[in-house]
Amino acid sequence: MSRMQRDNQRWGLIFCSPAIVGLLLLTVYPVLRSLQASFTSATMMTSGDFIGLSNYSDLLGDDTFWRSLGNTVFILVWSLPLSILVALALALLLNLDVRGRSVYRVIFFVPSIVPLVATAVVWSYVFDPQYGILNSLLGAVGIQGPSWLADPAWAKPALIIIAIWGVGGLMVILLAGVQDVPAQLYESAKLDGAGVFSRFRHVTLPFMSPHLLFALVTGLIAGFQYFTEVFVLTSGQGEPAGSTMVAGLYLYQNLFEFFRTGYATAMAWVLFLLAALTAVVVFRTVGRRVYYGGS
Amino acid sequence: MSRTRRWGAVPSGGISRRAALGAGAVALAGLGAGCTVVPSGRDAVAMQPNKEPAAGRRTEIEVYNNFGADVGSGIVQCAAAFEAAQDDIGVRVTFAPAVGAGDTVPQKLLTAIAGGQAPDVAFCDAAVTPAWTRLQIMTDLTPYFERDGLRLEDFYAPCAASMAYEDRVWSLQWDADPNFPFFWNKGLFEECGLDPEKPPATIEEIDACAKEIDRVERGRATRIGIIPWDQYGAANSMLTWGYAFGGEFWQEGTNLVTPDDEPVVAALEWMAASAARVGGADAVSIAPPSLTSHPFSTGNLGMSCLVSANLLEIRQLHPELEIGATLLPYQAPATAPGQGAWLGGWSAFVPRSASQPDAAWEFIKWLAVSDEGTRTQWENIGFPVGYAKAAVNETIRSDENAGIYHRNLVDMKNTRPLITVNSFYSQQLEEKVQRAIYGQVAPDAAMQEVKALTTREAERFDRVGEMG
Repeated sequence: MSRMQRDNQRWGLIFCSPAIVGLLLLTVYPVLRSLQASFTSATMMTSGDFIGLSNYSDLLGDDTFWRSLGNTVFILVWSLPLSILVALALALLLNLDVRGRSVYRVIFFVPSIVPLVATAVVWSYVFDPQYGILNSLLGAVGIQGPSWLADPAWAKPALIIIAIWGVGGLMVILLAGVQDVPAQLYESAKLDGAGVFSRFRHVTLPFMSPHLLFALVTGLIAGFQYFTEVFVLTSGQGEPAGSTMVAGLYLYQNLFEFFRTGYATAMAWVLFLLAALTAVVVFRTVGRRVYYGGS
Repeated sequence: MSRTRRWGAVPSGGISRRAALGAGAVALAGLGAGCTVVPSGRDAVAMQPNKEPAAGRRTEIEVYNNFGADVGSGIVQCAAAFEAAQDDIGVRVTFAPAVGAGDTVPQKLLTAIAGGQAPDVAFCDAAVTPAWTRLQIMTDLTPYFERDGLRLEDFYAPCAASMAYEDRVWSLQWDADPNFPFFWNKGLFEECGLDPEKPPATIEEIDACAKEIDRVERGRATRIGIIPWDQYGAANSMLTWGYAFGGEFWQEGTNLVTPDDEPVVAALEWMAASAARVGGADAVSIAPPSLTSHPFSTGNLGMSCLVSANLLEIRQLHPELEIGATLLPYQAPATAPGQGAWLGGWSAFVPRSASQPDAAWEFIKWLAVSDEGTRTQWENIGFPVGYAKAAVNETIRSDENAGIYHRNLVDMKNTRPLITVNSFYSQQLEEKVQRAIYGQVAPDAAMQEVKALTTREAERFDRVGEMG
């Protein structure tokens, strides 16, 4: 290594050091500390004693934890594919050459920059069985809408709809992917007689597959962390009748209401491992089919 | 290129791409535009939950204020009045909102205490005392209490029971809100052919009145006699009616819970039957979701329990409503109206790691016990006080709105379960009571499950407490 390279490396490290120190102190240390706490009887105020794998074994027998995990997965497996489909459809639509395209893009993107708490409050109005706009619209076409967030059977579908509403960020990413598809490929395919669906299937989709994989993996991780909307809409209770008790909410309750810090951190690590495992499976299966250009 | 070209092979049902985009955009915009907030009518800007300490004081204390709006503003006014009453102590009021149902999770306070940055004074539901003392959150106030000649007997009975734990005093109850007196809408009673001057005294009479008031249209209850399963949440409803039916929720002095007590189960059966009568809990739709005051203010609810703050707000915003007030109806083996009431409200305590515990004690003693402080609290916030010897009780007793609360408080016996796992118990009740109300589980099975889980958690908490 030349002297200039050593100098560059030193100055590079110096300039990066605030970020590195911040990362170590504010991310790495808390993560390791939480791992340590998961093997203890820690409460919020006491560090507790080492209890081995007791917190993890207790989780196995905790019906509420399994139910909350089931609710989380239910919301995830519905909202993620639907969100990707809706975002993809919007991206394709917004890539078309229509007048006022920029305005449409802004309108569809705006929901994703509305704070989650505000989003949740607005949707609580929308889903009101009697006064909400959704049931009013359904009523206009002769359908009596359900009670949505007040009905244990419909509360989770309502949360899924809310999740789909916020696809603006994903839509922008997919729109960038659509715009990256070489135009000459479409023209060649057209000359070879390919229709719209064939062009989408054999040209657009392969070029967008890295973006879709990104959407899938980040969506999975976010799905296991799902919390804010359900916390706001149910006052942190997972109402009605526990039907929206998701894993993130149960974790929060254990930490701040029941003072079970060790147990809550064990839960957090189980959720992390599940998310990581799922991501690995996705990479091993879907990841192999992703087209990164070139050969 | 034609701008109205059909959109190829995509199954859009012949809708143009512009129309598809436009429809989506209009739908998104409509969702936002279709929602309006029904204002509470109060000047939110004028109400501040924060305050800097007065300048030049020898000692400064910090008070965590978990209230917003008018109550939060009232706390600030009390702090200012305390500063005006003496020259030594300045009071910083910091807004530290509690979250969750009933604002029962003081997230900011707990985080501050855990992080070694505790305020000098904070507020809590006194029922958390058994847990919080075990977790070493609270300062033992007994030495101050005895030094200043205070006696537990001088507080109303449920306040004294909640403030003390294992023969030590841990907090002072400055807001002794009885949960709950019972209110009825006289105008609605008259409209439905009921005697507006004759409120129900028993559960059977509640049912008889409710049947006349209930109005179910196209599967939705748009007017209803009573919503017994939602008197400030399912757990609070269960406590209220369980006590009103003569039940008990725990064995005093122990951590043994008794949600399967026969009268408690009977109360839950009644709550579930009341929901079924109008087509289920999810069929009730009497108020817009944007309503910020209590649904009783809509005039579509015949009878309800109300906390004092809600009653005052309704009377202020809807002076046209004729509201009757009485004691909570009962069911045998309970023997008289009002027996279902239990202590709500707020207590003031000093966190164990507070830097100015002496000055903190002076503030909470002033707020909860002194004639000047209790009167200031009453005039600026309007809660019943827990100190029975306070002179302001005479005023409260004769007040048009608060009189019924005071009457309830004087004879009240019940509290929340004073056990180490009160929050867990409450959460279990919240969920399992709802499941019974929605018909997912039988009431007795729901309560058995609550008992089993809470008992297990109490045993676990005891082990953790010993370790801590």
